[in-house]
Amino acid sequence: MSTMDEKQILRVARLARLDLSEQEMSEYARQLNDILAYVRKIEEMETANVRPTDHIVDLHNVFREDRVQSSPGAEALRAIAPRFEDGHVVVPIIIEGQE
Amino acid sequence: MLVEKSAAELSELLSGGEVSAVEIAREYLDRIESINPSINAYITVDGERALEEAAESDGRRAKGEALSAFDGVPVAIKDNICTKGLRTTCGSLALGDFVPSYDATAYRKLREQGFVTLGKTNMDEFAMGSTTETSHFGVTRNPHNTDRVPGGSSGGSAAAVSALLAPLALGSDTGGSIRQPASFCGVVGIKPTYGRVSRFGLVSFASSLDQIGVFGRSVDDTALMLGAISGGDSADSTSIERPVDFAPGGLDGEVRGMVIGLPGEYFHGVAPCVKDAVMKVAGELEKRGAKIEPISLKYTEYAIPIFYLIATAEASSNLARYDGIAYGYRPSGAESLSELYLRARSESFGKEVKRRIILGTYALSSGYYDAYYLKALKGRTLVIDDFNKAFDKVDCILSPVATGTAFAIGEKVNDPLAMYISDLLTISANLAAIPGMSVPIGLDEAGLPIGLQIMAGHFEEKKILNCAKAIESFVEPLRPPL
Repeated sequence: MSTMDEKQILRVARLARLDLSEQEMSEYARQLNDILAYVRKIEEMETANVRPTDHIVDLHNVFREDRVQSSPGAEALRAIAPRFEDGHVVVPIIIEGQE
Repeated sequence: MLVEKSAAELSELLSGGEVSAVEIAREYLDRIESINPSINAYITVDGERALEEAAESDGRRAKGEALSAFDGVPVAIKDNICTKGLRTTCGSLALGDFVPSYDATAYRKLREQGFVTLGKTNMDEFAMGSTTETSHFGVTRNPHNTDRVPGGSSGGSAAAVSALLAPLALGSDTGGSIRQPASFCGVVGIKPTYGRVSRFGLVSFASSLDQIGVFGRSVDDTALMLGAISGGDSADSTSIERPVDFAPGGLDGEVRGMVIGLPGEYFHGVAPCVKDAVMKVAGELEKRGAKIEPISLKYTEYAIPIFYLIATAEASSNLARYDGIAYGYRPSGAESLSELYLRARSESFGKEVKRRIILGTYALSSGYYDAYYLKALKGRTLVIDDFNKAFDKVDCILSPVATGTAFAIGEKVNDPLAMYISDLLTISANLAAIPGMSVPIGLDEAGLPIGLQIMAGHFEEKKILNCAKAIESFVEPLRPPL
């Protein structure tokens, strides 16, 4: 296991679509390394023959009837969308050069 | 004063026609108006809606069509539980204007039984915190001492019930977010077994750990509200239908023959007054016929690292949905899609949320997955085995809820690791998916409430509630603060 330098924090923040200020960066660098140093304790656990827990309550393949139900509809989407025109959510141009 | 009555008492008064739901709602709304500014338990109060719901309830009662015994009893709802038509912010600017178009299942069940909605309670942003200090809507203060935190993340719900601003409240608990604030505010709080209550409509933080639960001022009130929200739900495939065998009438508070385990690991580093209070209660239970047995949960020391790796990994994935497109915060003037994503998230998430997303993304990222996330999932299995072994021998486990009483505001908010470590005694129940409850058992030298935790095996809420009822019968009740 390793420590996180600023370059790695930048890489991970980018993966998570987060832009960090310089102040956030220096604060996080210190705090995240403190946290990582602490969680490294899990290395002590002997887990060679231990199965990982995926789901914990005894449930398998939960099925339900495939029934047609009404969806919320455009009005409900309009009510929560930051920008909505003519039945569509408005976003910035995605593909350059298209009209 | 009606606000001092338990939900069970209010139910009786309503059934007997001695009081109307509108009178109850009005008294609560008046008190909220005068007290809430000093503690900030609520983010949103919709008095008009509450009075309307109360008037409808009175109308039903007048026609003999009450939806349940609790038709007309008010509740407060944590602000990460979706309420149709009522703003649900999750304590974040990211959802600052979000008004859901549907109800969470747990809330829908309350509405179907006639409970009246007072408002939405404050919380740590996205339920990430143990003090309610990370809310975009300001800190909630502890009603017992306003220089102290109420605990978190459901600090608003705990403070509201404690300060007589609601008789009952819904909360959510991912690593102690019901039990620890219940302890700090001197109220009763229960996190049920994972799956007992549907998570549909609960804003996701860490889906394998999140569970909706209840705050009340008495064990009976808490049990009745838990019964009201329990049940399987086709909208949440991890929910499970199990009989509700803990209706208040079915709880006798009998502990004779009950075997109660005291895990040594849960008393390390605990403040002496908290330890003494818990041991005193254990002694009283023994006098009443319970058998007290020392036990060991040897993986306790790994629970914090395991929990924070799993919880942040799941959070980093769950919070990917906040992209500024279909709902939630959108920055103005973004010229490209990638700029929109980046700014929507960077401008609307607070420090703790970003910190956890980065940690979780790191734990899941290529090259680190096996060492962090997968190792933590294996560790989780060991924690579960620990509890399974313990429950072969004991019915319930008794411990403190936290190593001390409520912290000072500002004490831990800038030291995330210290904040994480403070969750030591509550997170294992989430890892093992077992029910856990916090019961007030007294005050420390400074007059701050001390909480005791009771845990039991999957779907053994009845054992916990019976044990809690026994404790409630002999501890001195706390006087309401304020």
